[in-house]
Amino acid sequence: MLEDLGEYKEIFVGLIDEFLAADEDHYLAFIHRRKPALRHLPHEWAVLSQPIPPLSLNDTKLLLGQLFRRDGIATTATVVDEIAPIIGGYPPAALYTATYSKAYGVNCMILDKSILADFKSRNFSRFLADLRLSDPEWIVLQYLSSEGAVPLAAVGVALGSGSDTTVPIVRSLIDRSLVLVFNENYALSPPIREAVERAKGRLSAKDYNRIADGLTKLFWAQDDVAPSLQVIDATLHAVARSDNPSLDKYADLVRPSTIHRLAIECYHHKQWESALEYAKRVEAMDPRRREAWAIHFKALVQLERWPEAESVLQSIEAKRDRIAYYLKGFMLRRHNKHGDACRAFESALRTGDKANAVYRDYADSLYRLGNFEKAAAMVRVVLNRDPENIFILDLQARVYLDCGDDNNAEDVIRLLDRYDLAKRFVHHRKAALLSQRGLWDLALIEADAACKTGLSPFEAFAQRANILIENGRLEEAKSAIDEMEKTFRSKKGIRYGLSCKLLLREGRWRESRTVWDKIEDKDTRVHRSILLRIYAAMAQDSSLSLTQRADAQRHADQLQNELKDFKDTGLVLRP
Amino acid sequence: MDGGISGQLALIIDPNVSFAQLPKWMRTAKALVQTRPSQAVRDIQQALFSILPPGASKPFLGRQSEQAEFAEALATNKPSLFVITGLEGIGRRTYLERSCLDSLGLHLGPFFLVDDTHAIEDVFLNLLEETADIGSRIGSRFTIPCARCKRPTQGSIRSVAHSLS
Repeated sequence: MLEDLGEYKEIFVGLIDEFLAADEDHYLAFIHRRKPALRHLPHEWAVLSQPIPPLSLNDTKLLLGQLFRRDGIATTATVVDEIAPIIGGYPPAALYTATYSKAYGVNCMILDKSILADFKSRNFSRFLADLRLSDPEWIVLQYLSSEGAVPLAAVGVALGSGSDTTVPIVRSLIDRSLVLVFNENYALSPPIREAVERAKGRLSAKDYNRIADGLTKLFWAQDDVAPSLQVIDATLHAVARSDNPSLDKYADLVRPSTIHRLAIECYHHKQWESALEYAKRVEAMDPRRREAWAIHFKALVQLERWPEAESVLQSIEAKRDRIAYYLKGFMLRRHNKHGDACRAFESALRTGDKANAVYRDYADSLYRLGNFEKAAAMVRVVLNRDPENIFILDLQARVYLDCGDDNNAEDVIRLLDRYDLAKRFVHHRKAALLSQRGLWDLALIEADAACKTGLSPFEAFAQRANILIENGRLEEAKSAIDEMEKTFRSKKGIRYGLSCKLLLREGRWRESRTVWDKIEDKDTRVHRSILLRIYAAMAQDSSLSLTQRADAQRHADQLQNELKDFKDTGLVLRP
Repeated sequence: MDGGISGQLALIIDPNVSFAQLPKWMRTAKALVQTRPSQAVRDIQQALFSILPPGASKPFLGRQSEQAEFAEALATNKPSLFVITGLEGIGRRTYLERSCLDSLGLHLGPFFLVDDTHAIEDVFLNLLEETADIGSRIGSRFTIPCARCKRPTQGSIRSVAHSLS
């Protein structure tokens, strides 16, 4: 509804103007996260704008007292006095404190106040994990985390159960304040939505096949009677997420917002082709949607369709939309032109584009340029807004690890341990920290765990191979590298680097040099460092002539000099 | 009806049915003509909330200064558009609900969520669904301008959705 600078979009100004001019006994209310600019509204005098701040300390105490009494939790004023300040006046925190206390006892909460600190900073992942929800309860939460608000029957379809089974499950989730009731529909409470996705991810295409079938049978039996908008959206969404995502059958009901949502979802799920198709359809249906331009462009970049991406970027630039700066940086970053990318991100920030994505990608480019201090500052901006964002926490851990700040890295990894419920990054980073400390056996345990999650990136497998080399388990390392070749064919650079290192450990510097020559990106510090070791091995090889050995030593010294500013951590693996 | 039921709410969803046509046992009930499904749901909810024991509803604490400001503004400027801002979960809707009830004697009417993917058409469609009566889901009961050709379009929600797509 709002423009970037907080003013209502023109079409909504028209709507408000018409409403206010009507002079009838009717009222309209807008509820926003951000305070809109009202100066430009034609009837500003007829608008009452009120910010709702956090509760005062006394009100928080009263609220806690009421909630504890409601849930039958015996407590004292001292306990309430101790808990209230940590809650920070945020009512859901008080609500979840009561729920948690009911499950574990209030004393447990007093002894470990970290969960209260989580509530205060609106982090709910651990709370969800601690609630020990049943599988059906998780299915309901996972389903609702991807939907707006849906009727109870649709929840039953997702669960694959009748109302007699669905109702107690939904009621239990409502009782724990996880699910809200909007008119006759059910939705996740806002703080919980992201936590569910972070904890369990989304439902599979197979689940959505079943949901699409179920919704179609239940709500679409009569051709001439359309279901409610919520059911239409839920059905289209389920069809699009299924194995057969054709919306033709529902063509007369497809709205731009539905397709827009699908484009965003597909993009977040790395389904670039689908995201691109949906984004193009949204643009065809409603060319004003700038977010759709961005998805269109970013999907092309992810697909490495560079000429098309550049053409789309030019058309966005021609519209003089400031989003073009960020998008340019996004493309340059993918081209590994991090210096240019940083300049584009700086321009984006100067124009007032302060989205998390700008700070996040800027931080990543700064990190890759070795500007750790500034990268850490950008990371902190995002973490202040979204403290349990595991992607940005992972970047922060990388920054600390690479600048050798083990203590801070350990603190961040501890946070990752708390919030990364699916263990996407935490084992991998623990392995990196332990490797950095030379604790290879322990590092291998974490690296094994990282590779088994099914979510870990290529780097986790590369790190495991590296640890095996460092641990002298060369046969296993060779198998691990061969396995990587099958699974990650495109990641040649790091694989070649690992092979070089393995061959060096086996005393085969000649083969190592042959493999090193195949590396395309020879100028990275990792690859220069491997070359240094190859020259060092040559200099020690008595089968070579004295001239050859002296020549190798000269090259090694030169490389040593070149690399002296860098901290060599064995094989530094950058994603 | 002799089993101890202390109150009944009858919703007449067909405007052609009069109170006198209700079965005899139902005539002691509070009866409302309500052809809009969403409004009918709210009527049922309000009736249920009114019989909740004290303390069973959502707790509402603080906000005295905001409520005083709300009441004062109503008395002086007579605003008809309220813009409430704050963190998600901070109690914005509960505050609005309580203030409207206390100062205006009104329950919140239809409301819907508008996110980044929604445009004005979605708002109109939601409004339409809230205000259209039960029969409109089947027959042709309303007219709105087509978003593409701007000509008045008659039809059900299905055809309106089409005109907007």
